Amino acid sequence: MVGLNRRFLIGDFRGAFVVEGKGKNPIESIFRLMIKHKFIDGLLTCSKTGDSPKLILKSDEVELPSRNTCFGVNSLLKRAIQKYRFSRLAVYAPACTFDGLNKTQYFGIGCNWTKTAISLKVGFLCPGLLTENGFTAEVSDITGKPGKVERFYFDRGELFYLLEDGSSVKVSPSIHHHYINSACRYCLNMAAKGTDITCVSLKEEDKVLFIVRSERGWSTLAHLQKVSPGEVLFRKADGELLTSVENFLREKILLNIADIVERVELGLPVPKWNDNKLRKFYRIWNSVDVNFEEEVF
Amino acid sequence: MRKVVKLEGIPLTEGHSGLYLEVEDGIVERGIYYALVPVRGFETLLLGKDSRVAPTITTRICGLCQVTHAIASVRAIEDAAGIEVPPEAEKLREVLGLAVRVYNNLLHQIIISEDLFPEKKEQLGFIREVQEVRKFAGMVLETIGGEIIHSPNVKVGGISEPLEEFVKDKILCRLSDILLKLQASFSLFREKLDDLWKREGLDEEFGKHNLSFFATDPYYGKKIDFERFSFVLPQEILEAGLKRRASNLFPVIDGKPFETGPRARAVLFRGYKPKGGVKELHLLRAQENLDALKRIGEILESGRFDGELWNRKTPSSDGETLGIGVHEAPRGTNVHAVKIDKSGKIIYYKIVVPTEINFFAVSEALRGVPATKVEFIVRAYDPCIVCAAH
Amino acid sequence: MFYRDRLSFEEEDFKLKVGFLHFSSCSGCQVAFLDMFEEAVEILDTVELVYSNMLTKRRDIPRMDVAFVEGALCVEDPHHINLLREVGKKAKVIVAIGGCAAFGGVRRLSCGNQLPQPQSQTFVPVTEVEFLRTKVKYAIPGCPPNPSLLYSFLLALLEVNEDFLLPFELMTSSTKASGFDIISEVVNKGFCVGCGTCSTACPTRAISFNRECGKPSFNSNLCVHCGSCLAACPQSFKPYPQPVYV
Repeated sequence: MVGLNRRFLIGDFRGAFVVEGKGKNPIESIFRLMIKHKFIDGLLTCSKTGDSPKLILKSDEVELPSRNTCFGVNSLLKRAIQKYRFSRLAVYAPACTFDGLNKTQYFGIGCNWTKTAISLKVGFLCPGLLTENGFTAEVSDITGKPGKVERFYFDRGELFYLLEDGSSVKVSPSIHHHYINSACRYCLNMAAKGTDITCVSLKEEDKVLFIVRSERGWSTLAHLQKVSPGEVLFRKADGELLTSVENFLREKILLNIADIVERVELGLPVPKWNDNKLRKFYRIWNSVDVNFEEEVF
Repeated sequence: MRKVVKLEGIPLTEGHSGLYLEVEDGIVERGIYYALVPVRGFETLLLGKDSRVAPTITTRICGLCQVTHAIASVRAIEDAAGIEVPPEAEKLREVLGLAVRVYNNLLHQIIISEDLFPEKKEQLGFIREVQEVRKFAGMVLETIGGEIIHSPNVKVGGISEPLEEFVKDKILCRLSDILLKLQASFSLFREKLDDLWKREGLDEEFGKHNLSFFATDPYYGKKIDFERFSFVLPQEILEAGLKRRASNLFPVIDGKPFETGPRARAVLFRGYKPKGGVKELHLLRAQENLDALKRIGEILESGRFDGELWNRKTPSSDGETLGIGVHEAPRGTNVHAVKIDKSGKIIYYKIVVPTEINFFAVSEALRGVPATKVEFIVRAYDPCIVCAAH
Repeated sequence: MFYRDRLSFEEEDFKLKVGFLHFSSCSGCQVAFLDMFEEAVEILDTVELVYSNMLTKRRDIPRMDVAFVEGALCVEDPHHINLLREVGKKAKVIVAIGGCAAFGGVRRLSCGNQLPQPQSQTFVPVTEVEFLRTKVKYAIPGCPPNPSLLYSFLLALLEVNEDFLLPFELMTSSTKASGFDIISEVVNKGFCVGCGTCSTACPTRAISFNRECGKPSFNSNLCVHCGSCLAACPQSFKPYPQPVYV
């Protein structure tokens, strides 16, 4: 049986920090510094609104998606690697993008020599992606009138939207689950486990929770602090913050699991060649002694 | 004693081909070279398709000189539909064509390296050197064309992606280094070729013929009159069993066989005096690599290519005009001819590839050579059989 | 992995015998092997290349452990029929490499009627040939497959990395894969996350990205049925166990 514990929900990590950017978004500051000091030669991500993929080459052009929408990032991989011939690329995206990227790296499918071209993967904790119309419908559902979402953040284990008019809206997981992209309803990796660092956006715009997973993520941040100390401040995250993130993930993932179980029980089709990943999960979910860490969903 | 020898499959060449030889006392009196790869029907499968799809499909005729078919194809369609192409796009296409020339000629050196280097260790060392230059040619193909093999960026009306200045500089800054490497491998190649000729007891005029030469341009390709081509069917000249198997046409120009390729370009545009024989063919092909790399540098340095390079006009024609696209491929002149209707659909497609033109040249060169050495003639022409049986 | 059986007790001397065979195709897949550039030389040094009409002098097809077969079989061509029997006899494992051999590729469009042999019109990918059913163990998608994919595949083959090879084994059972599958198997079934990997994997740029919906948009005119898109899609299969790059 799968236990919905921290290891399953957030995954393994080396350390968690609250990162403060002195009035600026600390992730953006970090990428700016990385480009400036030539740690990376490009940053692959989405536009601020999240609807179009973007390849950022200059430090003053760094701008990251601030909403939980980020589509098509990998469609620029070939341009970045095969055309521009970048060999130290950073990617900022949700977990699903890294599923594609990790696969491209591992098998070599899709884009030539991706394995050696990526130098940092930063994922963001994603409650489920929405299109522009999805946002409109969701906000109308909650507030009774359409509104434009500026950014999303987590506060005390709840998901919030900051709207264009400055007001904040609490989004309940069940409503959010209704409007998100279908594939996100079967997602079991909201915390972007296959990355170097996972970012969780917090209420204050200049604060972000960093969950540092890999040695590479760790040493990159350490190196960055060495070359420009004081640009961003790191403070060890307290257990309470991590627990609140975990609580949100648990609440949302239960909805996802219910959908998966329903899909398998109804015998709805699964895609070609996937070796029945949903059925595999179903079996594990219902069995007593399977080591889930070795499985990938 | 007179006998007929039929060889099937020529090792160290691309594809599956055959030789029909009439041999008198060990010397070839008459020989015919032909393709044995089944016809894939690229000319007929394109009929009824949107002409903008043609480069994507025709580039898949060949995996060795891929982009040359895409270029010939788009040029034919642009000619038929009267589409103007931005001059920078034409230049980039020329660069792609030259890059594939280097890429492919060096592949030929790798293919025949077993002949040149009896020692496997030396052979691998040579391949390693050549691969470095091929890697650079691959980089040019990949950055400008989109992929190394089967470039998707060559479109009807231009090139779909501009070449940013910083990417161009990445190519240019490596060029001089690569030229030096190529020169070094060229000297080694020349030396080993001499050794091979000595080892096999071949003379300088081995494989000489008296055919005229055909080429349209030293680098890119100029339009020609398609009416000059006529085609001999294998059924007309081959014997019973082979009639039903040979899969190439034998094109003739003004009713006569010609040789096309590196020697033809050297003779017609660089005032080269041919000695005859196939050894010089190897050397001229290797010389073309150096020229091609220099020309790539010249073109890229001549201007900027980071603007719009694609005229997106929808192709349309009267269904009568024969559009002709010519590209000087590694092996010679590659010609595509197309007719398209008002809606832009292809209603006629004809492809003449250089290897097809050279079938008769190879056959002529076989005359008078010892039957045991015929494979060296075939290899010298670097035939691309899959192109021939498109 | 049965090609290792006979030599399992003297691992040190084992050199994998590899051959390249060529049905109706453009030779691009064989060239893509050489496009690993320097790495190709290492591989030529590691395995024993026993047959390739381009790279060896052999005329007859010897026995081999792994035959890489590119291209579709032309049913009207007697040479292809012979070759088919030969490879069935001589190879222990067949790998269908590239779109044409695995899923039909651009050969799916052929319709014959071209001089001088207008009867050549039936092209069958080797994965569809019942005679080779037990031999064709892996199919590699792509037109041509990425050199980096071929490199990883060869390494996995040498190391007998079954986790890596499993998806390629599954691919032999589906004889068709194209952009339509991205639409019907992934988008239609509600599995598309909108990551854009299919769009970047497409060698003809037939798949563009619909930014409004966050989904791929497929232009069937440009599709050459190579299967790259579905193979690259993170929803079709995933690396297992999850790779960690640090």
